[in-house]
Amino acid sequence: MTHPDVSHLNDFVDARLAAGAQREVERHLADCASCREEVADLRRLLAATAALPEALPAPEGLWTEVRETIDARRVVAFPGSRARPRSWSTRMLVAAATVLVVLSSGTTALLLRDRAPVAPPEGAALLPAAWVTTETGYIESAASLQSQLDAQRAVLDPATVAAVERALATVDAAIAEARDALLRDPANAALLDLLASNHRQKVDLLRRATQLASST
Amino acid sequence: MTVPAFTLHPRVTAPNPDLSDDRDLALRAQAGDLRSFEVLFGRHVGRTFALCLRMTGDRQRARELAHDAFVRAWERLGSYKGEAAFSTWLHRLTVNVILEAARSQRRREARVALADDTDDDVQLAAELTPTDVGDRIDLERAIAKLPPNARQVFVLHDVEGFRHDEIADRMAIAPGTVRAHLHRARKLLMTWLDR
Repeated sequence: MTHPDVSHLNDFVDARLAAGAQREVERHLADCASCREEVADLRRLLAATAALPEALPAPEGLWTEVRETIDARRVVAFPGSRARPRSWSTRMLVAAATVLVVLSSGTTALLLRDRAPVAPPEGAALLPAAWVTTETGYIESAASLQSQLDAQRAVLDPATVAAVERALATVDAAIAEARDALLRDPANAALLDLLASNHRQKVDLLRRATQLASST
Repeated sequence: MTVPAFTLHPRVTAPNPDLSDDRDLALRAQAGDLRSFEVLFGRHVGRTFALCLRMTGDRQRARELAHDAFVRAWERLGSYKGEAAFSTWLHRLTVNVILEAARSQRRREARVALADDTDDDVQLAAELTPTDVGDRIDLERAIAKLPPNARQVFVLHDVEGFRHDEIADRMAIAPGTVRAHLHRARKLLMTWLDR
């Protein structure tokens, strides 16, 4: 047999040759030192490749960038919905705000019901660090949207502005209530989720309001 | 204040995301829970970034692609049904993001000049400075220096374990071209690492 070409030896190493061709290369290797060396080099490379670490250290700050992009794109559609963002009427906006406020405040009351009072911690340092980062993101997103809304206020009907402001005030109260409860019971995962939900609802409410202003 | 007519047991209905498995986290993230998604990000960003870095050979580009992959994952969480491992779903989504970006880049470059990997050998030879030779070239750096198509095929096949036909399909090239890129990549790596 003449020397197999390099591609043939690669296919041999990958076991991609037909059984007969595979055996033919094996017989050739038994008698050919240079081809044996070529195959050994290939196998050393593949072994080294297989030993590469599956994961590498990711750049710092990447999550912050991802979260900012998600926040910027998250208008009214939650993940999983591939539908285009819907337009929200004033009536829908106010109705949504009312529902979320009632649910948020009521749920906080339920979560606190029948629980023994817990001595208040000194501050947010007792909350999970990942949560503090996430909450900061919500607060920043809300502040940015609030600025946009303030700039667009003139194009909205005064009654709509008033309704949105009332809804925001109540959502803020729900956030403060949940946060206060969480600071008194930092291990309460349900309160943590509730606070996150309240923040998300505030951001969504602001997004819907700014979207409504943009479409007016 | 109105209280809804239902009861809630907080410690049962709201498990700690840090202790949940990937599938549960993904389902919670589908409902809009960004904190659960953050936990998933923390668990998988290292592997995602490694894939992006090996496929591009460029840290900044890899950072951009890893960012795009996670944003797309968030936006398409609804398509994750929980049947396969979340890591598998994310990995394949990331490969798509990388290859789509590579195709877009090739189209942009094609408008300027007809470029082909076969021209890259000259460029690579010029890039191999004396500090790159010998033992100081490690495998990661050598992979990064491969021509783009050869690097992508090599990483997908030899690092990530994709089959030839899968790579051909995803890269929109012929299976024979996959084979040629793979063999060329290995040849270049063996040459560089043997110096």
